[in-house]
Amino acid sequence: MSEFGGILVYIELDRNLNIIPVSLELLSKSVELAQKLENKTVSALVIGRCDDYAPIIQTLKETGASKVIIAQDDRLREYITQNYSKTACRIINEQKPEIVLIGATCQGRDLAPRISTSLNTGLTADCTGLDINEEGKLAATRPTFGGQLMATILCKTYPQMATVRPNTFKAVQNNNENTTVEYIDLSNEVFDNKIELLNFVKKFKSDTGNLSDYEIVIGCGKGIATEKGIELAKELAKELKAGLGASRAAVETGAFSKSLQVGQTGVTITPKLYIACGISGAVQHIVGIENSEKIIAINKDENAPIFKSADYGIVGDFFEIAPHLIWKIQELNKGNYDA
Amino acid sequence: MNIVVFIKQVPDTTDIKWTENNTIDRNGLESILNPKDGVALETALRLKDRYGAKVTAVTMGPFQAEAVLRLALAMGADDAFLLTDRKFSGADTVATARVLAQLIKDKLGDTDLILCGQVAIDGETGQVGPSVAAQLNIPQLTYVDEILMFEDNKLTVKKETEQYIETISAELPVLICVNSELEPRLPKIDGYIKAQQYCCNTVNMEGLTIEQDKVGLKGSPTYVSKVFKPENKHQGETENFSADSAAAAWHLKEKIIDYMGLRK
Repeated sequence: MSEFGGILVYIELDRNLNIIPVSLELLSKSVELAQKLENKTVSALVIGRCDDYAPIIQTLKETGASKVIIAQDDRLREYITQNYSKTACRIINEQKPEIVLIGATCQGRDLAPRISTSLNTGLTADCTGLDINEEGKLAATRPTFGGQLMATILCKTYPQMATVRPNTFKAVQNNNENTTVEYIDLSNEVFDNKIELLNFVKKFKSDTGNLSDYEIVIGCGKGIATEKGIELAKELAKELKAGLGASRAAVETGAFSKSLQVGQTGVTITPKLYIACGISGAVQHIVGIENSEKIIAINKDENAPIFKSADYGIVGDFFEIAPHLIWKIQELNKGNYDA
Repeated sequence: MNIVVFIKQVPDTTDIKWTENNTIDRNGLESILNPKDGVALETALRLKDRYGAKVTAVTMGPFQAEAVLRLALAMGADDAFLLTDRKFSGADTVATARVLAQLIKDKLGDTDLILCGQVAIDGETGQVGPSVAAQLNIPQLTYVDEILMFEDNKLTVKKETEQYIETISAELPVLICVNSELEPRLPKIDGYIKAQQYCCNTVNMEGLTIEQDKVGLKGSPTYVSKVFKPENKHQGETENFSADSAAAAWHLKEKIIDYMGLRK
């Protein structure tokens, strides 16, 4: 039997010291995966410097962590790759988890390969599926070649590491009554100062906010990226209480901000319903929407590839359909189901 | 100043065709310079234009990969290294990074700045850059949008993450993964001529002080156990309502009620 056991999840904090969603998504998934492992310990590793860890510990406990490991030091107040990597490596070497999972965010993608290389182990990037195979090994599945091919990757060494795309799994409440908390003393650790954060500014929040907050997302394609088209899409979004996203082609027209881009090079979304309007349906876009529960497509071109990835497709002109649909949804909102 | 740019020849993934056995049909698949590596090259060449520097392009791959080095030379790179050996093939990101890092140690010596593209369009891992930095034990900066200043022993960059734009300074040497949308320059005629006449340095296993079990498929901790076409979870009917927009809207409304569970 291997000396390695259990799963360790890296918990990323934002600048307001809130846990970012993907960390909790991974914690939930780990609790599920651990059922198939001999050692069912799921540890949550928090690196940084907070004044009050109580709310963080509470959230991690409620999401099912069996152990919370807190590595705190004033010098870790800001994320610096080498310092965080050094800290994480030290803890992984002490705890010896068989699996380490990290969210595929800008920070996670920066940190994970640094850790895996230092530990001389393997790392699978940007996974969209995780499982434990018959041999008890982590089977990490990821899209490659622009989403046109899926690959399941195994790792020969320990710990087996993976970064996972945000919004791939759901975070669920699963209170752990026996969570233990361990504080790591880093006062003797030597950190170097070759990197210095001079300043940071928060980016403007897109006018619709975070797309993952919506049950319905309306995707705008190049086909409707005109003033009139956007106006209609916005009105429809308002009636449906939906978020507004865009394809890469639509973003490239300049009509939508880059932060609204959905797909391989943008964000992945998993709403209950995605309504693709005037989107042709390049694979790179499909990768970002395929985990939506349902997909509706509206396109003038009956040969548009989007129809092959839609639960329901309408061949028709969005500019003509939208006004009717907006009215019907307004009626629906008043309780009239038959408009 | 010495700048090294890691570049990669990739298949043009925007145009992939499938064989009957669900494998990628590599026949007629065009090879291109990975787009973000073109950005990294352009970034290096602008630093050379502004501050003066020697720019060395490095790639690992089969002999044909020399094409991207010739392109780099034509654009204005000063030197080029091709890492090629059958023993290198099948490498995952760590095994690839070991070879790249070893080339720096064995052949390139003092390097002030290493530039890479943030991600390649084929593998899309974004891991090789940070892995090289880890092996050389130098700092790294990823998701870099712009190099604002480049001095004797220091540089300042603008980095863009999900929510923030950060200004960061780093001591040299440093490895940077660039993620901007810079348009790489087109080579000029004399650049092409220079590139044609230039003899790229070719390095194989014997040229590096690295053990065989650290490179290629054998030296890779990860391996692909299965590849498959993504399953399509959304295969429904499509109806043509180009002639009747009101009917189209009615059907859409019904589906929305249905999918969102709004039925009374």
